[in-house]
Amino acid sequence: MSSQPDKITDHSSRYRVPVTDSRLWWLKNRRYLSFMLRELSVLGVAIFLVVYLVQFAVLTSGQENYNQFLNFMKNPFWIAANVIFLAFAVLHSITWFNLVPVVTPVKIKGKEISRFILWGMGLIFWAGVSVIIAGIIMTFS
Amino acid sequence: MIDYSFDILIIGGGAAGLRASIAAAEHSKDLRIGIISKVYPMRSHTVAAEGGAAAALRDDDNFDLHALDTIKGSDYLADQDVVEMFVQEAPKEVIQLDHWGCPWSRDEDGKLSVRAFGGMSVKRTHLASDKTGFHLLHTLFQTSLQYPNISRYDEWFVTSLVVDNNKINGVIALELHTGQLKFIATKSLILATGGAGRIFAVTSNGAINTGSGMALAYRAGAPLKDMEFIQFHPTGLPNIGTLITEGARGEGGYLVNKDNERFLSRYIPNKMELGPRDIISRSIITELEQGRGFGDVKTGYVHLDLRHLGKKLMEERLPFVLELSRTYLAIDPLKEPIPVRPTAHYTMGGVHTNIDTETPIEGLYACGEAACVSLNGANRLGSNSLTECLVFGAKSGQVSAIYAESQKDGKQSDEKLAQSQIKSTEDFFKSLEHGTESVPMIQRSLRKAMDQNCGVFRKEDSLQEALSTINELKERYTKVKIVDSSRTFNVEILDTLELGAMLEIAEAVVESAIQRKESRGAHVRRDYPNRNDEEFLSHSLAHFSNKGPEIEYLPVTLTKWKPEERKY
Amino acid sequence: MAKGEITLKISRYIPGKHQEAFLKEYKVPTSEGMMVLDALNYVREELDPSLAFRWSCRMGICGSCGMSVDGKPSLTCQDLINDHNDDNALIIAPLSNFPVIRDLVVDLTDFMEKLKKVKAWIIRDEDIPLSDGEHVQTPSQLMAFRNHSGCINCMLCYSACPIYGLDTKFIGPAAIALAYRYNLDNRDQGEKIRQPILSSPEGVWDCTFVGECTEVCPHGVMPAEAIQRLKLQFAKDMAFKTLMPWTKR
Repeated sequence: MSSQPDKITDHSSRYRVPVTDSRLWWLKNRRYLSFMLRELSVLGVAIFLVVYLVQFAVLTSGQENYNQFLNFMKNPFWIAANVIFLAFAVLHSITWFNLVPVVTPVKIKGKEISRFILWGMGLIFWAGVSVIIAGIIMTFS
Repeated sequence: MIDYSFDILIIGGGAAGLRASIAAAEHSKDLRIGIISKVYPMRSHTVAAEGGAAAALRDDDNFDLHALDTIKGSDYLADQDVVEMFVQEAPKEVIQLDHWGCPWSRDEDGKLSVRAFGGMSVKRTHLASDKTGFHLLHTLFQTSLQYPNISRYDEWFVTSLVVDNNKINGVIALELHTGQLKFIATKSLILATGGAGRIFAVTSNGAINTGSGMALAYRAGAPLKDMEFIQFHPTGLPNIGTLITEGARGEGGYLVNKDNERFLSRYIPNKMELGPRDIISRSIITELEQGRGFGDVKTGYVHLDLRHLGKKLMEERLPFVLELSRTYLAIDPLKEPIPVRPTAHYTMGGVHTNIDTETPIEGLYACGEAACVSLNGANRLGSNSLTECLVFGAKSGQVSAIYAESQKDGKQSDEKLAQSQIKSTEDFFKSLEHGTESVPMIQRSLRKAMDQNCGVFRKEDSLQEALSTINELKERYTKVKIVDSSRTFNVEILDTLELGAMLEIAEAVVESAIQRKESRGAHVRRDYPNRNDEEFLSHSLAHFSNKGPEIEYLPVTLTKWKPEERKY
Repeated sequence: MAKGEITLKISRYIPGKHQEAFLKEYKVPTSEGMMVLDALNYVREELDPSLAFRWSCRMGICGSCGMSVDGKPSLTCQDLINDHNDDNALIIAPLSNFPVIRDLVVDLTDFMEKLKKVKAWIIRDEDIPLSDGEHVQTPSQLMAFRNHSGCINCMLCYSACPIYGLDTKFIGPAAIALAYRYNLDNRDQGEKIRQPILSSPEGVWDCTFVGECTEVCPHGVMPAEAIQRLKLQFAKDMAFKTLMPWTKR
């Protein structure tokens, strides 16, 4: 005799309607798909990072290695691939700014500023900082 | 074999039941408290209440005024000692809910806001936007989670009370997830099972409001009081029956007929849209009968015009009305008026209790809409009900806790009684496999008969017709069948049990209505159009018998207020 | 298919009778303004009374009638039949990511336990006495948390969340949103007490901001926003604690 209800069944062992393929949940709708693309886009950034690291290594390992590296970079297939990586990297940055209005909503006179505007302001800020950094680098090079 | 054992068991997880559980838990942490509900508590129909909770908190208000409004609104059938206690406890409950986190709407200075409501002579209805019931319920539910001595049985349906020598022993309940019948022993039992609007076809009530809890007490020997008084809320959506809050009129909405006139000037010119609900419902039906409404009496409607309230007010104080109208009628209240007509809404009657929520069965208490204390008499004022659940829920919790503490542990009861009840219920379930009648068909006939013959206006011959229909349906009910007899979450068994309760409650309503040969509050008879205080300043008590309800009368308790003509 | 009629393919599963769920077809006459729930009630009343599903208020506030309609989590009392393409059958299944008790009825025990886990109630060091009256809370203080308090516990968000679908240990959108609602309420003082539960691996950090929960929520609770804001708050907290351990936060 107890005054607590018995755990009827361990609910995790209850029947679940089987999903045809649980690995493909992200194909169910447009938003799931764009979420996966957003997450995958970090690969673009990662690949550029790896290329930079290789470049730094190669810069200190002699003329011949460096020429090999340059030839590889000039390869048209690689350039085509770079366009895709660049697209992913840009997607990564653009979607990152989607977070800005979500975590820090801004209100002016009680009305919330539209998410699109906040996102746009984030992009403009990003572009501005990029231009400034590029300018500094090019001045000193 | 006793399956579980409690000090206090509460049937029903709405505002009244949850409030009772918290009151008992706060009384003593050693009390074992159980809440048993046929749905998860957040689904209880308290959730649909919109308008607000009345309490005399403001400086321009006082207890006597709130009491007088309530007593007059009840057409002098309310027990005045009950009303006096209620108006004094009400403010404490509203403040308590604030302390527990209820998001009451606020004035600029951060204090609680109030709005006007029907029959209230000053603004005293505290609101949480226009979802007051929702916020109240979730606040109470979430607050109840912190007490370790409250256990919950979600989706268990109580099939009968176990009463021995007029004393509560416990309940027999069907565990819906497994289909097993279990005996739960308890020292005290609180019924907080809500109203019975579902006996009508057009109702604001949810699927769960079948009066099953009232029927449990009724069959166990506790009488039902004032069952003839059913409130028809004036502004329900036509056909569907769901509610547009009285708050819409409180914020300034107009009711207009097809000639675009505010027709209430004909019936209640001093209060207009802020009159009490029974008067306004009758006015709408009369307009339809006299051809000034849209459509015929049975399905027609009038217009609720909110266009002049403006977008800002609507979005702040009535956002749910905007949502409901746009979703269910594809009408934008900012641009068009909303069609509305009376809908069965609240059961003033219920299990007979005294001011301490005690029923004549020892250890059995009742509170909220399931009970009739009587606070609301022949007609309830809007926004008194949420406060009623809080005040009497708290009272039930406290009183039952004290009673439970006075009872010794040990041999609870004669388990043979519980076992025989379980066996007869099992036999009933078995018999369902061999029946011939359809439960949905009987239910539909019952609800239609109640709508047509026991509505806003009543008379002898149509009430008698309703009664004979009910008797015929009760006969057919003995032969109902179910298609599937597997026991996991068997909704057919549930519907069958609920139908049995609905038939008995409907019978009590109609028989009480037949015997009250006067018009008072929400019970209006075309053949007895006047109020008769000499013979009927009393509550009707319906006792269960195999030959049908036996009605006797109990005089109303009067204190300060002499019954007068109810004029507004 | 006749106009004014729709075919429903409803997932049926009765433990003891069936080994697994299967779709059963029912033809239902349609009318203007009919909701999916109305169609289901027609099936139950006229065609097959054994069909089990939950419903009550019919006005989108009790949260009982959540189901999967054509693969999307939906509150069936508000889901217009005519919004769906009635040339194809409408597929109605129990809310995904939950164990099924029977037919369209799912087991909500997990969520009920999580509500308790996040301590979704007012926590105070000391209660003020009733005689002090109400806490002062300005309209803007109320607006800070009110939309998060609108959760009807319908579970559509848990059904939409792919993380919860893959790992039920995730506390989930509604429970976290409700915890956040209490954090933001000026009457509450329990933020620090809820932090360890919310800032755990099964708490906000399991969320990858898919955002589908906010998308399907019928009452604008915005659980995705609540979770991301908590992440920012916890990240700031951790940064301060590591870099400036002497500050009291």
